[in-house]
Amino acid sequence: MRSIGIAAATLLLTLGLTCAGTQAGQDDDAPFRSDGKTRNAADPIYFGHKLADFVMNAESETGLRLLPPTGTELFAGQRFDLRIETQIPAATAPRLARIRVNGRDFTEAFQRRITQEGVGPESGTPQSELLYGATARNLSFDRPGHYEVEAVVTVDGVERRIVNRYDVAAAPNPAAPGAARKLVFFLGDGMGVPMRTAARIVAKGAFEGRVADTLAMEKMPVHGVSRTTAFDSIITDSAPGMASPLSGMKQSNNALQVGVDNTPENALDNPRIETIFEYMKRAHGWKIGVVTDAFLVDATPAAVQAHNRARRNYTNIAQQMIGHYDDSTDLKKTGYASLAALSQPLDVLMGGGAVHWMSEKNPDLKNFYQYAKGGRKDVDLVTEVAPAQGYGVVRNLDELRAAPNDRKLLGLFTGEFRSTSSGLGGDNLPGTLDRLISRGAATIRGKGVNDAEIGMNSAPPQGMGCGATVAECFRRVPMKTEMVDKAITVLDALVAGSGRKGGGWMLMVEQSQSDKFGHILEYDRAIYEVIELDQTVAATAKRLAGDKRALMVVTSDHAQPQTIIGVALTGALVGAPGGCFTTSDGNYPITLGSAADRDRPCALQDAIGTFNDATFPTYEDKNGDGFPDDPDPAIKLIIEDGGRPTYSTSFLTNYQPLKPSASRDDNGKSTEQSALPNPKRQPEGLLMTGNMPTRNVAGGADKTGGAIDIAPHSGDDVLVSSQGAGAQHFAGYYENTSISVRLSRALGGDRPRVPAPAKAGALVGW
Amino acid sequence: MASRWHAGAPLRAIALALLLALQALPASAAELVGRVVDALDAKVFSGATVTMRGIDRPGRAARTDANGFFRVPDLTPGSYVLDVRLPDGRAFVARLVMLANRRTQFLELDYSRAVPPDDDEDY
Repeated sequence: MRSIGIAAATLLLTLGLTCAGTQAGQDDDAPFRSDGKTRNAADPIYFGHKLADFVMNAESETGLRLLPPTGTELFAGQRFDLRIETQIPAATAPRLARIRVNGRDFTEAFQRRITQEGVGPESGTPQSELLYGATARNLSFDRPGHYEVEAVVTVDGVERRIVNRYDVAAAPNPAAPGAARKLVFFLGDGMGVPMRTAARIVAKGAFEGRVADTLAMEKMPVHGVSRTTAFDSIITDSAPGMASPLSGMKQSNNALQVGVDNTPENALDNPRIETIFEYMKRAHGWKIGVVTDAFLVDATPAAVQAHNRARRNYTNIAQQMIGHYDDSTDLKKTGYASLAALSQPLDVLMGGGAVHWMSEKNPDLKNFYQYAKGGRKDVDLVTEVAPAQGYGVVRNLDELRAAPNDRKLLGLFTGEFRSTSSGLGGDNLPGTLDRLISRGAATIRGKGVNDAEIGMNSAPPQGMGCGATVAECFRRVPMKTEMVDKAITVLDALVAGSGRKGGGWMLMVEQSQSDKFGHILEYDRAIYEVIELDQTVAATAKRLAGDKRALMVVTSDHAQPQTIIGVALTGALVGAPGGCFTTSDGNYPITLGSAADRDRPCALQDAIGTFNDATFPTYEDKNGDGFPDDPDPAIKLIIEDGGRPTYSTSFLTNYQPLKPSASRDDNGKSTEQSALPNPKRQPEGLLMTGNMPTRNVAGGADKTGGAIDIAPHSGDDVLVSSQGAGAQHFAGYYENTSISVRLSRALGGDRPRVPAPAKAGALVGW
Repeated sequence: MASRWHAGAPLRAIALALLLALQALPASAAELVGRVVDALDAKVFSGATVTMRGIDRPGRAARTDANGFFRVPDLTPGSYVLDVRLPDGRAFVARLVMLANRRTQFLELDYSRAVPPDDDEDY
């Protein structure tokens, strides 16, 4: 019976490939992902009585699977860990029968490698001997081609078989004519198409239906579309949203450059994959960097070269970022030699979140960075490690400007620490609008840096290390253009100083708050973030204009369920009499403005112009800095969300970022009020009923835990824009995992045809 | 490029062979093997309870062993909702389709996937 089952699975595979192949387009790699079709884990999609589950390429009776997942898009020389494991405990210890690559036997080599690595995290040994699990680290395919990897494991006397297929592209070759030698990879976190459109309308204006100017990212000559789905969810979080494009492997939510495994008790022993950033540094001595406005160890920057199944292992990730392995710290040396050999330290890194880097005993953490508590218990990376490894450490704009150009650079800046603000958190840099206000370059409905509502004209809460006032501290946080300009200067100097022929660099630039402000429904602030990213794109394009070997790519890890719904007269919003949320009879006025509703209790809805009543906003930029001087001009753009917690809105910009929901108090403690709006945020506004899961609604799902008071991500596809050397490779409609291979082509790995299996190379690295 | 992997055999013959093979597979009463974990917190849960609510069929219950595994034999194919309670009292709901053509089916119940992130920073 079992052999018939295997035969059926094989036939399913054949049939699936045949059917999918007849419809495959140029960029459709579906035939390489669809083998097996065992269905072995749940997926949270529920329609009536039909429940969808999670399809995975695994043998059904034992859960035998092979990592990297089938269809992972690799390039020659790229390192990956080959893991074979069962998921269902057997009656007796399973054993590997054989492993073959394109028919060639590698069983002995695999067994020898597992023996060398030993029992434990290096080989990913399961705690129960009734599960099989073994990882051979840091292998690669030596030549382009199609590879078929077959593993057979004997479980309780029966041979179980799994086959994965990989399409391996040519390795980057920076010596090739026209190959990119400099890459700036811009990542607008959560930046869906509506937010690009909104940024253009707000920053560039329109006249008689035509835009007066376009965004720099729109001016790029090549555009593609990327599918953002994660390995295990149609909605990705920011970890696989960035990790998958940089390595070619679809990954699970919360995972950073690793696959799944049967040892969930260890987040650091999962099978890893090398990113193209790591590869270029390891194989060609290139320099690599990240610049972000999030905390530095957040998922997007961490995806460049950190490896961890749990994105929240921040202290561990910080050590990976500068390559510090020590048994007395959170990132051990013992058991992780293969990780140290794979993960390449960053040469330039800038962002927030000093708390993940500094010792709890470091007075700067409180006095300068304004953390009331927290800090590392094992080591101070800023004072004890980074300088010894050759990094210059800077804390603000003045220090950034003064830092030597020929030295590796670690920039840790102050976060959004205002005690009167909620929703962004002190780990992340203040938002663009708030930094502009601190510099006197913007107001909110006329309120500026010295007005009490803004909350900047007072002393920082924990000490005056960063400045005498909040405004002074915020002013000293560099703008994205300033950070990127310095990063490029340093990378250029480091490459020149290396004296290496064919040297180059890669820089990842994240605009994080376009996502983080989207989560808390601070739409106007999110638009300023996209504008700041676009200004950085424009400035970088200008700087690199004469360099024919420079490539710029702008994309997003995912979108948010935001869309443009129209415009509003701000004066009408300010003057609205309220009544949208308060009620005399105990019922909220959910349906408003009907013919029978003579009182028109919610004037706010009438102030919104939608559809053909949506005229053009009147944002102004009198100071010429490229940003609107005020987010609430006479007519403003209105954005709403398709996924949201319950909140109320007057459509005006909050003077300070505020959480939309009342589920947590100012100290972050749960108040069990997730279905009610934050009473401190626009209480006079329209009540917007949430459509997120809640835990305090009668009859709701029995879920405990979870931040359910903010908007989620969406599953939409996102744009990929590019210009410069190799930009043409980013045209098309493709999986986000394809971006890694497209980068390898732009870096000189261009090759029109991939050789057939018979002409492919071997699995190497033993 | 993709066509390299296409089978040469006629589609109709494959479909017929597939149909015959599927008829020979067990039609009902499969065993569910599951594991209760939290991939984000790097934990496996021993002593968790899993109660299965079948839609139009009786519910079943199980408890996880030292490595977080549980087994529920002889399950009728179809849709189930699973109420999972961790030893520390946290609870979540998961979903399962037991397929008809399976002898065994594996299900990883991952707390970090079943509930929204604990913290804004996990988004």
